[in-house]
Amino acid sequence: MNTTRKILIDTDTASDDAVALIMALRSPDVKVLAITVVAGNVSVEQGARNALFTVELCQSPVPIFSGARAPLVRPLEDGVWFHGRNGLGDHGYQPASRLTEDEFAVNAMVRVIEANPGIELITLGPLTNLALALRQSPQLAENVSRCVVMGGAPCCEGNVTPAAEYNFWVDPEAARVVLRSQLPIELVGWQLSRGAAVVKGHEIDEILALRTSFAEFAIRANDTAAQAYRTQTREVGIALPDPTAMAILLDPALALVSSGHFMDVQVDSGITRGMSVVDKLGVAEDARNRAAWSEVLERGRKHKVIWEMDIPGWKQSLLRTLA
Amino acid sequence: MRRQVIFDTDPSPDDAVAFLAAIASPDELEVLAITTVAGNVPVELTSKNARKALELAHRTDIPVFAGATAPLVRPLVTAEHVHGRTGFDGYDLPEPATSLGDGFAPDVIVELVMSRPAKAVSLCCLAPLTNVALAMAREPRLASHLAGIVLMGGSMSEGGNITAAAEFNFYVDPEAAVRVFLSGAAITMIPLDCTHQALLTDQRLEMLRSTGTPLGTAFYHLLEWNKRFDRAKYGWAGGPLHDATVTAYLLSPELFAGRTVRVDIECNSPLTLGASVVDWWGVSGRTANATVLRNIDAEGYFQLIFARLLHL
Repeated sequence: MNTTRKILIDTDTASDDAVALIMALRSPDVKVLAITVVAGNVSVEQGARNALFTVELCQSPVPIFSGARAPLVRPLEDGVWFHGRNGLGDHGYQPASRLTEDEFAVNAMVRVIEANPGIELITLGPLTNLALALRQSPQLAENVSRCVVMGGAPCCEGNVTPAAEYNFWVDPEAARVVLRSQLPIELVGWQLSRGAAVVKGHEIDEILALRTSFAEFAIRANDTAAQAYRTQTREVGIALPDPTAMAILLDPALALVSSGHFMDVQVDSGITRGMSVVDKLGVAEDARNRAAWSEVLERGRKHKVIWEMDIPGWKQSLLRTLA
Repeated sequence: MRRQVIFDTDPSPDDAVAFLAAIASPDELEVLAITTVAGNVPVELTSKNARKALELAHRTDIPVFAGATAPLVRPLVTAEHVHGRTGFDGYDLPEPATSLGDGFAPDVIVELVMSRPAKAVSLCCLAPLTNVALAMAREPRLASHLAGIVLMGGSMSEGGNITAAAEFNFYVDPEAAVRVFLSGAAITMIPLDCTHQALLTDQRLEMLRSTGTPLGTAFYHLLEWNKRFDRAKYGWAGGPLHDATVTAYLLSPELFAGRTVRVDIECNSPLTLGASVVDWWGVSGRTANATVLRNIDAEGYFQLIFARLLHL
């Protein structure tokens, strides 16, 4: 196993982010160099508290940096209706004894990436921090070997509007900056965590039977989100979008079907705000589409969209990590 | 009362006149720093031009910090068709010998403002508002901690100078402009309606040349070259000296007349991208967020700014 893989995690730490952090911090395959926090599911202050709590649970020394408090242009619209007021189901977890670092998350992100060519990035929240970092260091992408993005609803319905997934919807301008960059993006849309990927009742029992602090925390912190998910989709169980993205970061072989496409995000404020638009049929370069797609064609690149995941493999990965 | 200011700028000669005139006014203004951004030309060149101007004026004690290389969301649009390839075409100034300050301009803005008492520092913005928006992303208390923001940008009923609808600074980074105008900071906006009244006629240019000093001569040639585009384009007796209006307002607000109104900036429509919508008659019922200066005493303006500039 190659132990030299270095990663940086950007997160709006709420219930499913916390599980993804545990997976990365407990994986023998990667070293987490930094965790940067962004406003999204909860305020950046609460997200940082949640990240600190999770990292302390894993007894990891990884530095945590607090970043953007609001999207690039729009006011923050958080997701506490889904994740609970504190983002972790409101179970009154005690504050961690550690604090965040003084450095602004975007500066830390630029510094760590530039000092570690070949680093792998994963974003679990709105793309505000990463967009700000790209503006600060235009050559940032050259040092990044993979950039796994949990976000978007490629060629399917969204979870906050009929058209859009939350991370893209809440800061569509930032998502556009990232998708129009040279970063080698692997897009893990929210739909990958649905259906058969949902952690069902007997699987929850199996996780709890591990009787570890990680297992107990992972299930309990997601109970409010599970209720909200049931209301939203009528699917029973715990959907874990961020952990599915983390599983794919840790083991790229879990991505069973993927393909490369030009992509863009709708940034107007109408019914398709934040919609991820994938040029699945490769028509963006046609004469009739060239004008609307010109900036994507000139500045961006084709990004890998993951369509199908190895479901048993994902669940084994989750179980292993919580043991 | 002496005010502390930071100039955020994309120097073509206009911008340089604005910050040099402020530096030449130590009784009223203390220039803490000059921060540069991509705009008229790329940030590498605007950062050079700022230092060229300071070296010409022998004021290398004022630090220059480079900022954003591109707007918040969109690719950079520059204006070499107006300002030439370097942004400082028309007179060969030596390559700068001084170095840039250590630090990213938005970080420096936050540091300089937040390390001082509330309402101590004003921002003078002569360029796309990217650096200011990035600073606000870093520090949400920045807007309320500032004494104010005086900016050259937007247009009310004058039409646009880069598209039919939009003024250049707002057009280049409309998302940054939205962020700044929604920040709650005390904003004074000087639109094209005002600056187009302040034309750099031959007679006014002569005020620079007739000094015979290195500074006067350099700015005569820089501005004469720089305003050729506007003269040819608009058929006026001279091009507008846009950016120094910001300095003039800080020194002599009585030279200006305006109203405190609601201003919003268009971000979505391709046709009117970057247009500033000024609710001059208060018909929207929305809270006022800027003082828009629509008129200027042009003669008083040039007398003031050139007297200060040539005093350096």
